[in-house]
Amino acid sequence: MDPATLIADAAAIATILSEVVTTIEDAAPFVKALYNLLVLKQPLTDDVRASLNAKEAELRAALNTASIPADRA
Amino acid sequence: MIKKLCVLSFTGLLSLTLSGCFLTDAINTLEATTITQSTYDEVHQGYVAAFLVPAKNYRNLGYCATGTKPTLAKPCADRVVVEKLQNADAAVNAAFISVQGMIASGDNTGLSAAYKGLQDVIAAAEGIAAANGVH
Repeated sequence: MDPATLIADAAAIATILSEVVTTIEDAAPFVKALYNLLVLKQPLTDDVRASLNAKEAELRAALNTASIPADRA
Repeated sequence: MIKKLCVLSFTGLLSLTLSGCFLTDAINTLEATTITQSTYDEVHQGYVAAFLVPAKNYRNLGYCATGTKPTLAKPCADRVVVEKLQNADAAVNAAFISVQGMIASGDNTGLSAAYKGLQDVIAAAEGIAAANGVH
């Protein structure tokens, strides 16, 4: 495998990994919340609710951010 | 005789009306009491996972250059769609705050209507996401 292909493949793998990690990070608060609600069948504990609210605020801020102005296409 | 019938009918009508009122109140109370903190939590986490995560990912694509459309090779976010998602989310957030406030304060008056309103704005937001391939 020539160096250019290797670098291109590594970059592609890194991109995929970063996407997966992002997804896992996004999913963590929901997994905890679902465990409380569906398995324990209890309202969310304060720490789980705080985690979910923090994630919600983070996602909302990202949705409303003006800091990604670059035109991609 | 006629006077007596009128009194009877009036009494019957009043009884029916009152029964209707009590029934409506009972249904409202029943509906309100079924909307608990757990109900709210389920809807809330579902919304954040099913709408806000993909909406944020869509926004993070970066805007499409003016006059271009997203493609598989070059995905990008349509400014008009992002604005719709932002407005829909703002409406949902306001509804969540309203319903959470009622649950926390134990105020069942209007809780059913507020919860219905919340469901409606969530459905509208999810409709916008689905119609524009935001998932």
